[in-house]
Amino acid sequence: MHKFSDNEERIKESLKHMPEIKDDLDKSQLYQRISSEIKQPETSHTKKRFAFVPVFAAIIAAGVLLLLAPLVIDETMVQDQSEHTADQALDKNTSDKGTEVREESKSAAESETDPETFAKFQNASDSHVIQDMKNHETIVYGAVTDLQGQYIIPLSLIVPESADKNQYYSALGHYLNEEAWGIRNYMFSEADFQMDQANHQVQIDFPEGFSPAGQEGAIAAGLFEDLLATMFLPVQINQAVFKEPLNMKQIGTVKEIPLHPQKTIYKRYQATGVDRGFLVQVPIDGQSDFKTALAEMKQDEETYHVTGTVPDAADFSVKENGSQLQLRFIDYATIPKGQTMITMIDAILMTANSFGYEEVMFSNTSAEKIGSYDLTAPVKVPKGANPIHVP
Amino acid sequence: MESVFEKFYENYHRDLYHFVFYMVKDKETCEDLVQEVYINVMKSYHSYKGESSEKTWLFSIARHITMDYFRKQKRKRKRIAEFFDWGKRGAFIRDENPLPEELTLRNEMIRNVYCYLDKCTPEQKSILILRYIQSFSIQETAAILNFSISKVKTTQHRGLKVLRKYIHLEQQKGGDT
Repeated sequence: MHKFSDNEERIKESLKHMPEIKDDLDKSQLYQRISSEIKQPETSHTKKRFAFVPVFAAIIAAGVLLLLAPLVIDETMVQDQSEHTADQALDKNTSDKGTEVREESKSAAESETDPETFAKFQNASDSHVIQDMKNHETIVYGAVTDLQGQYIIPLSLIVPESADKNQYYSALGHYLNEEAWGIRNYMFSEADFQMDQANHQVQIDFPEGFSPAGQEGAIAAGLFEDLLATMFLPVQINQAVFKEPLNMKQIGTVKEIPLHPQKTIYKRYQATGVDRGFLVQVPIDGQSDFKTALAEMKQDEETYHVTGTVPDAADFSVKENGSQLQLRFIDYATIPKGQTMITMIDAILMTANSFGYEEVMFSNTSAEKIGSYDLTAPVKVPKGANPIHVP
Repeated sequence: MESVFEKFYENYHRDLYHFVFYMVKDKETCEDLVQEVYINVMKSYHSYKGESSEKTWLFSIARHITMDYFRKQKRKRKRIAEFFDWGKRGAFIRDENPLPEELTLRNEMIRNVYCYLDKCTPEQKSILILRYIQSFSIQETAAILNFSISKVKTTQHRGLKVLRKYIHLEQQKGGDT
């Protein structure tokens, strides 16, 4: 029986002794194939692609419309019960919503011809947050930073409730595709976590020589604390205790770090050339009110590939009633539509959560329902952002 | 054009073929991808400025082409997976491609490592192949993959960890039976 730790050397040796695989491809044959490929005029490829892509996109878009049309009609019949007769309501709303669906399908077809992307749009809501959990599921909260190490990207790993959550904090990196998503590597893959819920503490055993400042893509000490706060404050843990004192370079060696909540607003981060965007935490002054937060959420930060989540034209009146935040759109015409609206609501709800609110009431909205949000009632703040489902 | 092909073929073909083969583990696919690498080399050789060695440049092209292949495969698999629920068993399904003849005579550990290489991400796999099968240095591997040296080390560590995990499970399974 081999010990787990002994295997590494044997694996390395085995890799070094992988056999040479016989290459059946003859050199001159290969050259012939290559030169005939190179000599082929490129126009034939281009022509083929031009012919295929729009037709394929159009077929998919038509399919989506056909699938959604009955659902839109059903939903409309339930929603609109006043003012008009049932027939008039059906005609009007089917026409309105049909247009919206067509617009979304059109924009999907215009922006991407990849069938995978269509699948995302077909899910009605491309939400960045988790509103409801299924039975027997829970969330393990993780965090990484953007590629420039500027902002924190919170992550919500959805795992079986019965699972050992401590294990998932170490294994979280396995569920990330850092290169494809344009994010930095998860910093805690080599660490062991032990949560002590009774004392609101997490004990962390980092590998020897670990230092946040010494890691690949070193990050500032403050950001390191914020990463831990993002991961553990949602589970009522407010103290990180290190098994061995940790060299934080800028602030010296520390044995423990208290985790403090801080106000953040949520914008959207998407690195160049990647197909997944994330809600990202942007710190805001602790004295700021929600009106200021909404104004800040309109600002793009192109240098960091961060875009505002509230459109420039959108204007709100802001009130609060206990733990409820009340947002009223001042100008009906400035309310965004479709995915922009869903992302805006996601970001507002996460920001509201960071400000300590439990729910948000949106009023004077253009639609009663958008994505999975029912805007006729207060919307609870989400359980987490940037969901990742464990297969 | 022929002289460029000749030069690259004579100097690097064997290594190139092995890199691509161990990445995709299928001879036919390997041949197609190797062909694509040469096409790219010959089309863009005029823009090669000698900032890295020819071998590094060639392998960075090979890496792009194989990664692109994996991305396409992933999209295909995802579509297929929507129709079939593999459930938890999926994680433990071994690579079902037939072992190449050359591997059948090797010991069990080598065969297991070969099979479980597919449990690594393409990034991890490429680093393990470059570092151990092809004996590239960390610096050369970093240059080929356009990674920092520390990223090569981290990804290499993670790749080995994945292999360790599956081989340990395999050994336990063997011990149980």
